[in-house]
Amino acid sequence: MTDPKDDKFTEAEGRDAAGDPIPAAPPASGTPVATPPSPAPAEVAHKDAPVAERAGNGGRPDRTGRLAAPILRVEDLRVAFDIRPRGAWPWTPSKKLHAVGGISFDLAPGESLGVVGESGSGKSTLARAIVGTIASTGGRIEFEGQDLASMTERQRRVHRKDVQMVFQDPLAALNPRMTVGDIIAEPLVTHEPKTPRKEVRRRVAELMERVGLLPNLVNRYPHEFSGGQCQRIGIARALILKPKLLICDEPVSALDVSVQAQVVNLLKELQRDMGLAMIFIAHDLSVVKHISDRIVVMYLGRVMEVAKSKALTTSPEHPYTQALIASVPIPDPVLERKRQRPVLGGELPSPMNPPSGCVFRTRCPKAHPDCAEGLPPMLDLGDGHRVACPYHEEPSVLDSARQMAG
Amino acid sequence: MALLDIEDLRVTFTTGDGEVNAVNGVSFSVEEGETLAIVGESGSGKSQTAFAAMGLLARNGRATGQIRYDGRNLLELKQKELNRVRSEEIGMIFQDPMTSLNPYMRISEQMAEVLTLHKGMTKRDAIAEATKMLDAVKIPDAKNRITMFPHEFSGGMRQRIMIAMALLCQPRLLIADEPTTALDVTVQAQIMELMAEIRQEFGTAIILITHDLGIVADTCERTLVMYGGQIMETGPTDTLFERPTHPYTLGLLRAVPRIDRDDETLSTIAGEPPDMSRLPKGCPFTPRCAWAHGPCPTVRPELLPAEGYPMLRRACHAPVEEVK
Repeated sequence: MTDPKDDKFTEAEGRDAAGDPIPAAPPASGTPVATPPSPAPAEVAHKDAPVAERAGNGGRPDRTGRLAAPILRVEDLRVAFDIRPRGAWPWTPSKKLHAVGGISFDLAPGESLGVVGESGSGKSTLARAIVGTIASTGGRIEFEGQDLASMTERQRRVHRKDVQMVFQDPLAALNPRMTVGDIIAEPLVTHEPKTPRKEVRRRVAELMERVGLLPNLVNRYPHEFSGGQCQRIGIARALILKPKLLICDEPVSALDVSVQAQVVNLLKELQRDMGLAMIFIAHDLSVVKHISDRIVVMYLGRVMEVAKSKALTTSPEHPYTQALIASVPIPDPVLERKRQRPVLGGELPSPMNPPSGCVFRTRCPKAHPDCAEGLPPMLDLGDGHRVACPYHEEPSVLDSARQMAG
Repeated sequence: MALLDIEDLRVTFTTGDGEVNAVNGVSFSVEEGETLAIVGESGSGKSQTAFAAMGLLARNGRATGQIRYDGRNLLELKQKELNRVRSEEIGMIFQDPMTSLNPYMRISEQMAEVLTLHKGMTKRDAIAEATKMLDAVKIPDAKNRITMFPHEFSGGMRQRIMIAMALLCQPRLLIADEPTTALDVTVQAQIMELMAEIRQEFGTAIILITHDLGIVADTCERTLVMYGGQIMETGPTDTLFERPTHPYTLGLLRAVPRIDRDDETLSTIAGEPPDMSRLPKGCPFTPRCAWAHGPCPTVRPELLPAEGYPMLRRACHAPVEEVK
């Protein structure tokens, strides 16, 4: 295993305007939409963290000369669950399931990071660990320089305000017995109980308009809305506290294609206008690609490859990423026939007994005998492109995936 | 004569909120050995069309029109006759393999039952036949794994079992209702490859019902696009994808995020899918259509050959050359 520092793929300085910590101008559209005041993305230098710590945070000056300290830093994060084997006696010790096995990354303010992987790759567990609903069993999660594990109850409450989540099944995530207005207002009323009712109502209406819901629907119930509208309600609820980090766990997987595009565009717009940092989790690489500055590819709880979106989809280096891209169908019959689509055999191994060494080796067309020994090193290919495969330069059947995009 | 010929199919559900018209006058046919994709979003009526053909409508559902299979109208068959057709002639696989397999029965029992019941095989022969079929769908170590229960298999493997089971009586038509929606992309690619092989090997005609335009492009010769319980456009997949002449097809194709493109924003179809109990009298796509004009809300467009693209048929009032 390499030094966890090596595993990191921060690249705050390489980002372009999209990730610039300076809040973008309000939407250029002529609609009289009142943009909610930006949730202080400019306050990269946040109040809680001591200055010295920030400086020592690996924060490098960005184009504007300010310190772009990462808003989130995940270091060698591990999450394991205790699983009782089937038919076990009450006294048999439970086995460990390593859902996330040593993941490190940094997230700059205003950056959007995509996380892709098949089911069982640990992407949702990662999200929950960052939000704090699942305790990590190893490593560190630092939000604005503060370690999540050592937070006091009061600090934790502030953290919960700053990190909000949007879920996959919009209808299941909303309380069916509450009105839309109450659902959206709930986080605000909980965290800032002193807010006057008038102000709450005003902010709810403002936000509903911002996410594309008619404010006069405020007294309706979730079942009266379609899936896409419910997801807009979920997004409004996540944004009312003006979070600094928004985690979206498969937010569009349950939606129809035509509505999916609406929600993806909305999220992208909100992220840009409000200067939100975002972690966008999905199994669909083509959706993730559209919304993310950088993409992390996960497999069985580990990072396989990290790169900027464009680089990852046009020149994937890891055999798993290549296979993943080759498996994504393109709605163009002519192109699809020309494309060689080597199909990846087998299925995800059980996370209860992951393969030794590189976890992907059992399905990897390039697997070497020594892949079974020891974790592959995370190689830096420059420009923030990192790949966990020492044989990534060897030719293989998957190479056609490299030439595909364009 | 076409293998399956559906004419003016209508499916209506009686619910507490009144009548819901899920399918409104759909006509199409499938030839022997052909692959047809039925594409649409949720509520478009694509699955109910297939359910009606298989006599699987929910109790409050009613189908009218004609569904002729091999010359006989399936809607008029007696239960016993229908059962024979369903088992030996038409196979069906569903979206979620876990809910369509019996969790209490071993795979061997479930698969053998099909053959003992319909082909009068002995149980031993039936299990041998079932094992062969599991081999054909590439379940590793089929001989030993056939005695396992459904929950002991992964999602992809279960879908393979479903396919094997549907193929046991060597049907001439296989209806696959969102067969890969619940699966990961790498497994989806495996299943789609398997379906293509099956078609070559057995010459089975396939109706693939899906919302995913990507897998249609790769696998189906002909595509039928549904919206609001009606056919919007149909034709050879290549032509339809290259030059969609219906606003809905066009919008749908543009809204799909593509891994081979870098669009800053995705183009969208404004609005929400239609409420099936309150469909407009005319074209159901009218409220979301950029080309909607005079007759659209009141006059239902007929499915006619598209001007200049004789292979395509479309139901739209807007002139072909304007829709692009």
